[in-house]
Amino acid sequence: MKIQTLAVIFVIIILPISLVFASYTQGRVETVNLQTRYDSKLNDATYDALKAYQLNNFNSDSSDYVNAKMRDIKASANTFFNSMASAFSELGYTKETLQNYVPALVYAMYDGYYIYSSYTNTWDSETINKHSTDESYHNDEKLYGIKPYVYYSCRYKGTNYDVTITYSLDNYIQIQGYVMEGSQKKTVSKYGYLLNKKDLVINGDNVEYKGVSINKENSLKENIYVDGQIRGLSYIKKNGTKYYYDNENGADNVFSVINGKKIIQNDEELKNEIQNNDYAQKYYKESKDLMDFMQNYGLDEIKISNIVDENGNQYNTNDENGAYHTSGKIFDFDDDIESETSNFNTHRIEVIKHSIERNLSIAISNFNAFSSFEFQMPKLKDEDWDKIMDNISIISFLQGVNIGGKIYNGYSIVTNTKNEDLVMQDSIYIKDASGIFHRITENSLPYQDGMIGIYNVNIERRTTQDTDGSNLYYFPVDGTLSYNSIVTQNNISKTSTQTLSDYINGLDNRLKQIYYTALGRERYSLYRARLEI
Amino acid sequence: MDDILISVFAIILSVTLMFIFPLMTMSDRTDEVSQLTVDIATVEFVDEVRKTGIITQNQYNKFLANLGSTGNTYNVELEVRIKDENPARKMTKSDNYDIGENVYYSIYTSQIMEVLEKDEDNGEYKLKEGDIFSASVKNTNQTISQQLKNFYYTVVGKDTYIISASHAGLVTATAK
Repeated sequence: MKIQTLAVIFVIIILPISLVFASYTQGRVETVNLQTRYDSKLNDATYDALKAYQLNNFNSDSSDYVNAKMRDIKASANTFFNSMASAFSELGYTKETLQNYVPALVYAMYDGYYIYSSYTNTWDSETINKHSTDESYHNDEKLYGIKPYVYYSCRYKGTNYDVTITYSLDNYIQIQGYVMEGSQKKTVSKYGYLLNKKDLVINGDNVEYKGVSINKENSLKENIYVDGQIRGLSYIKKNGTKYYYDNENGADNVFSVINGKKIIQNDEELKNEIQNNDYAQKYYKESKDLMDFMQNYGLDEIKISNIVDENGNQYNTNDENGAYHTSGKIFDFDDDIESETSNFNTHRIEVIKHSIERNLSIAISNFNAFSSFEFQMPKLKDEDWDKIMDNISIISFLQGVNIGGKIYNGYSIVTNTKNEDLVMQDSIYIKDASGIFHRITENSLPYQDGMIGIYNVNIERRTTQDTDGSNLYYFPVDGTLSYNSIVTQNNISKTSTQTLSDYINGLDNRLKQIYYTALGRERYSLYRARLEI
Repeated sequence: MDDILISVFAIILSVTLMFIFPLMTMSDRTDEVSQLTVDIATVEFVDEVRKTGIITQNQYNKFLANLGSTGNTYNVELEVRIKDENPARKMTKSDNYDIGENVYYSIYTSQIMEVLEKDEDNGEYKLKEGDIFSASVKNTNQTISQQLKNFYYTVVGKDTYIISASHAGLVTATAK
């Protein structure tokens, strides 16, 4: 055979192989490209949803209340689907189509979480009889919406108590249930932050924390748009609502503001509180009360062997695949309870993780009943959980979209950094006498007279509507951001291995005092659903 | 005489067909796969920074290692556009009907590297929510497929790259 013939035969064999290879590799490349693009889109849509929540949370006078929160979350979920729909518009997906691919959206809030997913609207016979069949909602209908709030809670049962403890993203806990008072059952509802007991010295009105005394404050002022003008007035934030004291031009009244209108409060106590804000002190006192209560009734002895489920079955501590692994007392007040590695914090994270994982997998498996595609719950990584524990976050899932040779299965977690639901340790900025905000970690931040601790949410711009309907903008607290520690974080002296509390411990006592006063004040001022018994 | 000429020609043709052609196709495939690796590594790196708000030395090294695994050398350019709200904050009271404008200023690779290298093992560059982070990657060496192509037809110019990727986006979290 001639060499040319050989070459031609060779080409005839190799050419198709190379063509097939080329198109195969091309296909794989497109699939993987598509996957990364979907990841980005999902992430962007989740961020949009979070931003929508954040904006509503800042700019509403009532966003702290539970039904308003659900309203904000619905708006945020709509933003998510709109954003997804516009990101995917080239592929022709609409919001309704996309809902078939999103098994769940999780809003991990301060002391519990909402799951936004599909559910079956089941009615009892009474409701069925009341409604005619031509109405918009029907029995056994598949709806897509928000499910009831689930708390990060765990039930503990011992010989002298049966309580449910609700945890949160920080050290705040709520205890509900009963304890034994002698031979009598006593129903209790207690709440507060757990702090290092040995750092806390309380003697009547003298409150000391970590060696600095916490005093009353009387110079808190903020801008507020009320009755057609922006005014700077003294205020107090009480259970999430701000009350202002107007004593200018002969006026003498205390009011709250809803939609730019004054709601006058006839409350002398409030006026007194505005002038002598002792909420920082109350925060530390509440904490001490809670810890004393727990010790008095033996709740500090709780171990994971005391955990019972909703049916009263005891938790099996020998189960290696179990959710809880802390050994020893959970609430060990002799130990450094605020430390990230304390038994309390480890257990708190386990409770939150177990609760979210359990309900989320239920929501996702229920979704299978509606969908032809078999949904699977992706395993969240440890770094993901760290993000969830950090602040309020949204977890979104997208599954079942065909991306050529493969089915897409992804999730995204986006964490909020600023919102009115919680005060993190780094949410407190220090405002100096010349009106510049600093992080407490700024390199060699000197103490100056007139420095004050500000909650970072209060330096965000607010939008309100003027009487003629045009938008008006203002900042509750005026000032500029430090270029060293806020605009960029290029000049901070906290090392990455150091915790914030350790760093603050090494600071000037006067700075420490400003910081801990502001932290206490802002945490005590937050809205918390409190059940008083 | 004719036979010899034809034979020589046939041998050259056969060598081209049987050796160079498969080599070119294979090297093209290799570049495609490298392109894919670079694309993914870039998107993952940028998205990770966007989600955590922090550029760490570790992450950056891992990113470079991922790029290096393709067997080529790359030029990596990073850019952070830092959002400065201060000009918007300084608006006077009479301007309440306008939203003040935010200003962005840029920080580039060498400035970021300076901060990262300050602390040997755990250097970090911290970003905040609202900043914009971008990375772009181009190959600096000549890949085999480029060399082969240059053999037949020369592509001139300094910046001839065949593998490139870029990704950018808004940072969604403030670094702790």
